Amino acid sequence: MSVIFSAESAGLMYPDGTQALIDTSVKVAAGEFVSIVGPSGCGKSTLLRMASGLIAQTTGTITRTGTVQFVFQDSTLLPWRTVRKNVALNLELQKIDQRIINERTSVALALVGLTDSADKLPRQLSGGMKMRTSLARSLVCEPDLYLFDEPFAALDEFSRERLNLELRNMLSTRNAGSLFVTHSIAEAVFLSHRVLVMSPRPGSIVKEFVIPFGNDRDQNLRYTSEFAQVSGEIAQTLRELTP
Amino acid sequence: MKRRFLNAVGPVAVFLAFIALWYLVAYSLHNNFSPASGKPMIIPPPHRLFEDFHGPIRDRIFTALLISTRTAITGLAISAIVGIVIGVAMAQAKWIERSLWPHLIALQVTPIIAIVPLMIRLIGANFTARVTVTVIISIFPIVSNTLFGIQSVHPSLHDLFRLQNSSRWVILRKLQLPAASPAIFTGLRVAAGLAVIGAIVGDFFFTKGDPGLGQLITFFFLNNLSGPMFITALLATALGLMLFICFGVINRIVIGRWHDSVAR
Ligand SMILES: Nc1ncnc2c1ncn2[C@@H]1O[C@H](COP(=O)(O)OP(=O)(O)O)[C@@H](O)[C@H]1O
Ligand SMILES: [Mg+2]
Repeated sequence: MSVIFSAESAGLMYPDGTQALIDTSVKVAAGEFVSIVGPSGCGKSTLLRMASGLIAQTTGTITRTGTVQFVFQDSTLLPWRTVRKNVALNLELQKIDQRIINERTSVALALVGLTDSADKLPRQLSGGMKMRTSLARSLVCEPDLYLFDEPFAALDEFSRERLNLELRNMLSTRNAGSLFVTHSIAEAVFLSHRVLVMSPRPGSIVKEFVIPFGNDRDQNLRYTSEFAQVSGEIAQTLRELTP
Repeated sequence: MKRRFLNAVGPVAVFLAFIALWYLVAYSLHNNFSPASGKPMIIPPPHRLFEDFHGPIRDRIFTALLISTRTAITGLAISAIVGIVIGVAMAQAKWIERSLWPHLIALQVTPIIAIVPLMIRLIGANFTARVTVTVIISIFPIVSNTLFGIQSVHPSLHDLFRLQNSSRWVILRKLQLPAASPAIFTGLRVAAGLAVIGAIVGDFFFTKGDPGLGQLITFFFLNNLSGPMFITALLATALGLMLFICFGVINRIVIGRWHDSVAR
């Protein structure tokens, strides 16, 4: 398994002196899905921003091979662009040939089930559809590493579970690695090969859970005793971290 | 449909009340201060406004309207271009913002009456000077709204572009300007009103050169031509309204599709 992202003893102090991360080590291999859970303000977003190169670590080393796509918590669509033009944005910024952009955009739209809404504006979409558009915008680029910062946090339980499954299906045909930040333990367990638990600020990885399910998962998995067992252990770890 | 009707009732009622008040004031002033003396009325009631509106007086009013319109529109156009450029420049770097901001405030709070004599000395009592005054009066809301609009762009949207290594120019064109356009249009609308004020009040202080609406109002006032004076004043209002509405329409066409403040 080739490692596409690794942070080794990485630390980050913001210019104002806030030590957000300390001695953080994370590895993500190609085709691997890794989730991060942790208390609010422990540095999860900071870790993702560091992984993407938006901010630089102040100590330790970060190694990244290949391209990155970032999926933000809010869908960050451009309100003056249609769904199609929003999905095409990243390709457009990479100055790719318009014909190829059109083709790949159509494929991505079909993948997230938005073909019929391609000409709508963001304000005409539901929260779930906005998030699908945002996912499509990242999927269309076929990066080597996906970074997700609580992408489904604003959705209702039902939409979230559906999108969890869809996301698994979308990623299943690719060999990209994913680093996924979430507040939902169930979501982390359902999606991931590994779940990492972070300590309160200054954040670092304190525990790793290997999720014992294969790649073939469906919604019923959520109601099995094994699922409850792992989720319970992670919840217990989180509770012990926050007094 | 019904809602439209109800929305129109308020403004119409206020307008009618205003006309009624006008008649009341016109006749009570006339009866109290110049009763049946054959002197012209101090304030003509609405139906007698147009009594003197013919011949040379009418020509002078139209010429003045043309001059003031040209001044206001030219000034506004220059304000729009220069104002957006300055606003964009200020949004690019904190030091540019900090260097320019105090001076813009100073310009904004300087009264017209202080600016006009200076302009006459510097440029002369000509069209260029009038336009310059108009620009000085109307540029501030365009600069500040452009700056504010660009600064309010959501940080994640910036990250989105930065992750693609977009240049400043691409970010400006594809993110900052479109995102700021609702704020810029609000600025343009306010500036449109100010440009008319700048053109007319500025003109009032220009005692030389071809008279615009401001000078003409003074002239009619000094010559006891109340009717034409009122018509000129109403035309000044109409000019301001026209520009305001123009920007409302352009606003609707350009950003109405996607922006919540306009779209329903
Ligand atoms: N730009 C910044 N400057 C200073 N401190 C920051 C900045 N961004 C985040 N922080 C602080 O760093 C800590 C971690 O933030 P963040 O990574 O957003 O946490 P999380 O995503 O886990 O909730 C928080 O205490 C936060 O207040
Ligand atoms: Mg966060």
